[in-house]
Amino acid sequence: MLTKINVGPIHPSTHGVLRLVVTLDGDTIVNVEPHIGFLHRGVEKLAENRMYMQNESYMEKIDYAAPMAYSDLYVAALEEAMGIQTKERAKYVRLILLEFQRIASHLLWLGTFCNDLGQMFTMFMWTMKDRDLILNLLQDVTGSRMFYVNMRLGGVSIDLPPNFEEHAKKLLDYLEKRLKEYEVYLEKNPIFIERTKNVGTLKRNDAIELGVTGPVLRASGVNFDVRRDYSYYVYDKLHFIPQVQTRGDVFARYRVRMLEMRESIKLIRDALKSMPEGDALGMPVKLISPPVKESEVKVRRELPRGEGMIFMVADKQRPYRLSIRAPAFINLSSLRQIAIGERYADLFAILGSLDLVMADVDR
Amino acid sequence: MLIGNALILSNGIARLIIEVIVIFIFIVFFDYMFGWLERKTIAKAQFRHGPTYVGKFGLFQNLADIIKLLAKENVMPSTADRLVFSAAPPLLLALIIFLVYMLPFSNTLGISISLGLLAVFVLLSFAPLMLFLIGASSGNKFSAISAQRSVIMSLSYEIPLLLAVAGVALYAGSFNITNIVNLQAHMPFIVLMPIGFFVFFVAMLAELERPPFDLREADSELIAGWLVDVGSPYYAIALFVDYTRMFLGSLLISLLFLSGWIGPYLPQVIWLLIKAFIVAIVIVVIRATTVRMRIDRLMRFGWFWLLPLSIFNIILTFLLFVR
Amino acid sequence: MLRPLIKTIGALGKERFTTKFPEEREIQPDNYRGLHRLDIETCISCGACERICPNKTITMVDANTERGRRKLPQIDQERCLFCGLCEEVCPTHCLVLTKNYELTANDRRHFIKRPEELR
Repeated sequence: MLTKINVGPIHPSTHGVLRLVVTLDGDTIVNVEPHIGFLHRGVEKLAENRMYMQNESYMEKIDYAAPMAYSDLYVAALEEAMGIQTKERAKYVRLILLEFQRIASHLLWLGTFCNDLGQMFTMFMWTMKDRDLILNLLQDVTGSRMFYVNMRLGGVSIDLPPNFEEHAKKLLDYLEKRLKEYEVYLEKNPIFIERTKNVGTLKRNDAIELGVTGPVLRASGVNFDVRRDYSYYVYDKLHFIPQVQTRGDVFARYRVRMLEMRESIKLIRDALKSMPEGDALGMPVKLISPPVKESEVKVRRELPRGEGMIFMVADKQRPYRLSIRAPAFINLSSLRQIAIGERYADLFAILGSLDLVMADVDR
Repeated sequence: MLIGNALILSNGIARLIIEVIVIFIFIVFFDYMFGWLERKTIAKAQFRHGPTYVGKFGLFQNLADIIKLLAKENVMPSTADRLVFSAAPPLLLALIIFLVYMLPFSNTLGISISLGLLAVFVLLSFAPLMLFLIGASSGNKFSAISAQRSVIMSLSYEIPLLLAVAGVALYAGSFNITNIVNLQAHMPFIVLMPIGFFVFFVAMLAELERPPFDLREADSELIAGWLVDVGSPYYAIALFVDYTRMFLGSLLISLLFLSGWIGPYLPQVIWLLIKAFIVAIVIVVIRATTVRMRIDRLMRFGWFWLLPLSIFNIILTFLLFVR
Repeated sequence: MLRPLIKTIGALGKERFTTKFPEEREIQPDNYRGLHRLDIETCISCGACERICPNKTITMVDANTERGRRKLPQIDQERCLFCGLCEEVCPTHCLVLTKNYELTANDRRHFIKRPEELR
């Protein structure tokens, strides 16, 4: 007998507002239908009526777990439209800040994932503490903890302060220690292993056909990462290696993100060592933007959730059309494929492992 | 001291009334302090302060919560069975409090029945029935699912619980709890029967519906199960039930395995309460650490691990000690 | 299963990370983007801040200064994104963002701060 359960928009599993209509046969899921759009703010339409640099603040608010990544994606699109090269030192500075942002986003994911599994907020509080330390560091650099607005055309708005390197190194050592502790905490817990292994498997071919990207794709055995295949900034110089797991279940996605955090720490260390001296400041914001050379641009970046893309038709002072490929939206569309045939109790583990931020899904 | 003197000097009806009042004060004290201790301990393990504003160290926080809950309007869903839904939670609370009264608190305080242990567990098995009635009568899909889950869980874990208790009774040679505690004067049973202690502890966690077995109130899956639709005063009753069951469970664990009220210098009742608090803190730490178990894993664990362990425990006790 | 429990017990002994706001407050860095402060005497009424603001938070209104009656920015603090663009385009650096972030009122109209109130 089929029952329909409404996992409503107000949802204790801290993903945001998502409505799932789940059709159950006993305890097995037969169909999952996500209803989205509760957080749609019309960012793409808003962007058409604002000048170029005014949009940066709106782009950041698309993904509130990793705002700098979207801001960097947008400014990179602008730079390509206006034909401006990023300064050499600015590439390193941006890379360091983006990788810190990636670690912070994955830490947030880890905390809420453990909440979904039933942990009584302990892991959440610990990862929030670590994320808070990263945000304090970013606050010293940019002036704000969450919505940084620090990317400018050709560079950043404010260069790294003089004592940044030693603070960053201390923080990185602390983070490495904490990551090891988290791994022990979770992987030595047999209940956690039982709830995540062989649950919510996504096969390799399905993953490619559905178009998922990011850690979800890499956990299914596909070795694709925008940072290596369509490399930008200095990722090719720093010998970046994408982390891949083959099993495709919830545990593999968890492993990919933990390994990615380790890889980010390694990247930051290497970047700090090889960063050149010089000037990293971009153009300050003025009332008139520089002239647009290319009118149709497409830029892609590896956001913490997957591959983000901006396709922009650029007018003289404002974008004519701004189209954003949000990774969480595509990842959510694979939920149906993964969840059919699983138990109902596993639905939340699967939903947690996809790392959704509803503001990214709805834009 | 005053209480001890009052007890020794009175007998009959006066003594009964004094005992009832004293044990009730213990229950209320434990519930209140356990609520406070749980919040502060979980907060300390998570690098944060717990309640700090209301009263010094947040001691009046629970009082404020109870006052707020009792002052709100009671709302009942229209699809609920009114009689059962209103009557079942207070009945459950009455059952649990009655069970606490059946345990002896020291050599002089509390009743001492010759079949006390058996009686406690027989009555304890009524509790799943009441929980099922509460869940099933609220007319709500989530409550129905959580009610059926909790019945399955209680069924699977009753048998190892009773078998572990049977092991204790086998060694002690009687079902009288006072005798069992006095037999532990030299060595607590946890040393003699570690497997039995483990089985009893885990099965007790399942009966108390404490993490990792808190399927009933799985608040990230079923959005707080049966507590979805209860009105405000019933939520207060639910809290009382939860904490009093904790009191019952930790009392049982400390009476049966940790040598109850036996200890130097302090009065016997104080020792019993201290041991109950220590057990409660261990349960709170387990709550802060673990991930929730899935229902099929839980049943597999109960039937394929705990049951053989408890049978093995009985055989071992018989061979080593009783023969 | 035992090692996670030992880690939780270990965490019980470490010190707390949260602060008891409002008795203890954290210190912000110097470039923190908080609420606005306007230096009335230096403002040249160019209106750049009004034009650059993404959210149309700033409006130029008539106000009295020592140099006569001029148009000065009025800020609706509820709509402000704290992006810092207005501070960046101001040619005389009279509009700055301070470290103050506490923003409460009982009435929505109290959030619209006239130029004289932006201290």
